[in-house]
Amino acid sequence: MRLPKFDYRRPERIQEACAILLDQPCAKLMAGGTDLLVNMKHRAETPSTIVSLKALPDLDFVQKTNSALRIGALTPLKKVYNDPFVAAKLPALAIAASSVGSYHHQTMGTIGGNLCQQTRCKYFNQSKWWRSSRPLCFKAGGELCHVAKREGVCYSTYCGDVAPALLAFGAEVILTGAHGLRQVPLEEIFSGDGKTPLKIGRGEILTEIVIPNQAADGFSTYGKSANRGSIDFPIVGAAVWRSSSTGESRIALTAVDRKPVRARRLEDFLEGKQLNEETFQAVDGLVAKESRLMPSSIDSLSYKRKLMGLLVQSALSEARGGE
Amino acid sequence: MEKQFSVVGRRLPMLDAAAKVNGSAQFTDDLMLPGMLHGKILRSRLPHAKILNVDVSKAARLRGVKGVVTGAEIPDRQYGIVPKARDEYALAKGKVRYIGDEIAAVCAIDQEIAEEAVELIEVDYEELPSVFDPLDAIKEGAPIIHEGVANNTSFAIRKEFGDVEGAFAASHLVSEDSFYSQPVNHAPLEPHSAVAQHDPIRGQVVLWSSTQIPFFLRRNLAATLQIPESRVRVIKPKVGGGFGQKIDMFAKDFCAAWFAMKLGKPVKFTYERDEVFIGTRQRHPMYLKVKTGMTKDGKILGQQFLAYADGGAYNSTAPTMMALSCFFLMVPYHVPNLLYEGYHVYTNKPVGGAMRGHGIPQARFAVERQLDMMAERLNLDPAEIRWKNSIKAGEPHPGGFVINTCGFAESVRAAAKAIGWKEKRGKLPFGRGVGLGGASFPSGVTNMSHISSGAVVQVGQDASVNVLTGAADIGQGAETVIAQIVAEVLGVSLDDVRVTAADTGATPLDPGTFGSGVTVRAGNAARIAAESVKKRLFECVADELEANPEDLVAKDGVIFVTGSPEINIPFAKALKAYQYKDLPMPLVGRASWMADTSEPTTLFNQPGNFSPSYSFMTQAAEVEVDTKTGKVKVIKMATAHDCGRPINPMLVEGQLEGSIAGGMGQALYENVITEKGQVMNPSFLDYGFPTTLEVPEMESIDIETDDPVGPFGAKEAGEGTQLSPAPAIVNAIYDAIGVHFNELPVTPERILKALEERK
Ligand SMILES: Cc1cc2nc3c(=O)[nH]c(=O)nc-3n(C[C@H](O)[C@H](O)[C@H](O)COP(=O)(O)OP(=O)(O)OC[C@H]3O[C@@H](n4cnc5c(N)ncnc54)[C@H](O)[C@@H]3O)c2cc1C
Ligand code: SF4
Repeated sequence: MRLPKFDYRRPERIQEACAILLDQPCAKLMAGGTDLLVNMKHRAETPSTIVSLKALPDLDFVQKTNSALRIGALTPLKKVYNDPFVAAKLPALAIAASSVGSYHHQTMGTIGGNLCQQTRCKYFNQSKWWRSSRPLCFKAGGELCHVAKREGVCYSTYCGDVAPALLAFGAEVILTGAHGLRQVPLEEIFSGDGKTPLKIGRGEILTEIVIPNQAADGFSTYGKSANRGSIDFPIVGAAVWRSSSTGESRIALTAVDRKPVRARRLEDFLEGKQLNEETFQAVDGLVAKESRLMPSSIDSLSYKRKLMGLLVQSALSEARGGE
Repeated sequence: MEKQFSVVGRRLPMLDAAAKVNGSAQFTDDLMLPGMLHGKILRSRLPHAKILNVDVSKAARLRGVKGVVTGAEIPDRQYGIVPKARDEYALAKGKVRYIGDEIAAVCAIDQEIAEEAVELIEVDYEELPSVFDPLDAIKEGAPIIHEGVANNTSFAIRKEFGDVEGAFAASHLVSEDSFYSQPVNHAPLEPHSAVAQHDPIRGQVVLWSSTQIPFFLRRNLAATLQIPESRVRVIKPKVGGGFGQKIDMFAKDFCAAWFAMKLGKPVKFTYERDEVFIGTRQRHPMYLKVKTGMTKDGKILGQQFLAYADGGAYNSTAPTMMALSCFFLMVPYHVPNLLYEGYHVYTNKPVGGAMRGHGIPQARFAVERQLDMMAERLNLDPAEIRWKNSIKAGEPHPGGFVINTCGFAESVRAAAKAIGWKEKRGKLPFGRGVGLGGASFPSGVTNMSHISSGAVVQVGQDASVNVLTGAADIGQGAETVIAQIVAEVLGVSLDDVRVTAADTGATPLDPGTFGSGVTVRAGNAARIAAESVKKRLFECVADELEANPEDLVAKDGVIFVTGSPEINIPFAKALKAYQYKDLPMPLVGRASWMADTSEPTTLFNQPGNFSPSYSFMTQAAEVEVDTKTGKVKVIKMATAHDCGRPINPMLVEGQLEGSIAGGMGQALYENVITEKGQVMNPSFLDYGFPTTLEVPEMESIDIETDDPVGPFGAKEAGEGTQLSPAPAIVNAIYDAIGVHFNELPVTPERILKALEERK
């Protein structure tokens, strides 16, 4: 499969990149390209212009400051998990980043691209000819959703590995636009709409991830269930963070909805409770409520549901071991 | 002790190993010819439809498009690998039968334009009702996929040996169980590709193709293009795996040749990965019902089979696949009475074809599973039941097979020992278990003149040895093995031998790589050709060595007198002597070889001896089931293997390791999932075959027999080991968690469900 035709821009200043995005509504950003280019070959995404981020200065770094760990959006996943501070203090992030795809994806793929990756669906991530057996689906520009069997909705699933770890850390992201930048909680950039999963303003670029210092003061882990030991997207992924000082828990999941989700009901339930077999009993039911499982992949829903509870429980019992 | 052989039996790297590692090996898609055009095929988007009209005008007008062809324009000549089952056109005529069926092709100055052009072709379809399951397709009133094929049953076979009813009546235990084996794709790393070039001066079209069968491809191509075979030359570059998927002609071959002839320019077609999954071949899904009668101590008295194979839209190898599935139930166990009824049924789905084991893996899975279930019912050891029922060399065979050598019983004991059977079976903690499976496979086919191999061995003035063989090396190392055989016969080193292979314009006839016959058939041809060279060289130097030619030996670069190695002449010098005597050069030996037998058979009509020899093997698996996630980890796989005398044990191990990964895929990972005939996972990402990270520790035990027919006693090693890993794994899962799985694949989800039901 060949790439469709597109214009290629490689701005050297962020403002210039933002200007191109504003000027050309059909332009798309490209970081490592490991997600975008596959969709383009499938003609599932056909941007008129690709705006490469690779020439932008100073977006490839992992930097410890007094209040936070800051990671540039263009930092390759491999550099993220090899960072000594990440490896030692933020294991959930290290595990998640090193579980993405294969080694090749980890060297080419960036953390910004990982967060902003497209949602996935068995009717969408296919060649154009394959998709011609059915009417164009809603996400691809048609009306009908083949998953929901209804018009005007899209249940494609967010499958990124890194987002749940960062959500559990309470991370924020910096979005840079033509007129400056704003810092928002990571959770806010996900729309929950399968068709346009990102809630980033037109002309904005995710430039930095900010992980508060508090994240390093606690237990964290990421559990990923996938078909094989390499390459595969998560069937389900779950991150758990538990503060060593306050006992607060934060739990987030991926591959269970159109966006990565925080398991707030479970977090509230765990508030002030000991981690023990009794509290674990409630996990399955509470976690299930946070997801919106739809048959958008070839994995069975009942298996996914089982894995959600299982991954969270096993992360929590690991957390208990540390307490 | 003096070692018997110098080159044969040694672990030597493949001749092309370095080229493959450093990337210089040329596969078909690597070929670039000046002015080459690029082709693309339009495939059906519907599972079953009449083609009312194909409008190519827009595509033809696109700038850069050089040619368009539709099914209506090509000669009315169907093809297929089995003559009596031909049912396919390179481009569909009038009707499409599955999503992926080829309708038209374009070629253009680059790939982008070709891709754009096929999208401009407008097809008017009249959609027809479709059917996706063979058990529905055989019903009265089901949609008719091929005119004139009643109940969509394109091939039926019923064979009875002995008296099955009597056997059941005499049995202590009769068990009847049902099994299902899923569609599996070969997933070769190299996608299918073809490049064609027309040579108007010689009036010949040359096709480079990723094929396992250059000579059969030549025949099919000539027939469908309606030109003489002599006008077609097929050359096989390096092939990156075939596993049976590349033993058919495909639209890419026909279309490349068609355009090359029409346009006078070279043309390339390379399939996308989803085209490989959807538009080539897969292992037939099969429903099997098996009834077995046994004595109290586990001797098999009779077996009855009812098989429905889901053929998809076309026949491909259907009759052969069904016949193999039937006859190979009578090895490796002695089955005195057998009744087999099998049906090959069309559905509107991807096409079934030969795949490593060819119809036997499905049947073997059923039998090996049921043996374990019956052993349990009889309170017998599954390993014991296997060696007790082993056929023996020389024993009369109900199907007419002539078994010259058989290391099966020994292989059961050796594999069981290697996995720690005695200490482990039934004794490991919950979640861990061991299991085994046995199998046997033919080493090619007897007595069919179109399944013969030729070889030419030529010694040049510098004493270098050149071999011409038609054998198709598809990554298994056929060229290396043939070179080893020639080197051994002539007593030279492997470095002295150059092989030119698989070019119908230059090398002698060979049927190609299938049925695991290459080493025995092409190897024997090469051996005999080399022996005739040796004979003439011995006659030439006998005087000088003052010995009879019959008393000479060629080994390690010298020719010497038996028992007196000090009386010798180096090989190169011997050749000089040959030239000084003014004997005609080059020194050439030729041979044609086919496996002879007194009772030949095609299996379709009369029984008989199908193959010159049969390999035997037992595989034993140890698994660990994660009872929380349902995931199965294969910890170890031990294989005890009788492939006669291995010509190159390292290459045998390569085959074996690949078949363990393949067997794991069949048992646990792989399934071509379809939804209304559409393949839902046509990519390496979603299909999910096991990778090196999943592959277990592997131990291989060689049960060496010395086969009288094979070159240096060799038997097949290419397919047999693919038969038993899957049942061994599933049997081990039973030992681990006490659940019988009779349907494949055993996914984590099914394991969890079964564990819950057990509670
Ligand atoms: C075979 C395969 C397996 C994979 N397995 C996994 C897996 O297991 N887990 C997983 O999480 N991912 C997986 N991926 C997806 C992908 O490789 C990774 O998510 C990778 O991290 C994406 O990063 P990238 O830099 O290559 O993104 P790109 O492809 O460059 O971009 C992805 C998307 O994000 C947008 N984008 C990129 N950077 C920014 C930015 N700074 N601001 C705003 N938008 C931006 C792009 O416009 C694009 O839409 C897999 C992909 C493949 C092909
Ligand atoms: S969920 Fe529906 S709309 Fe979204 S990509 Fe899948 S089929 Fe299309």
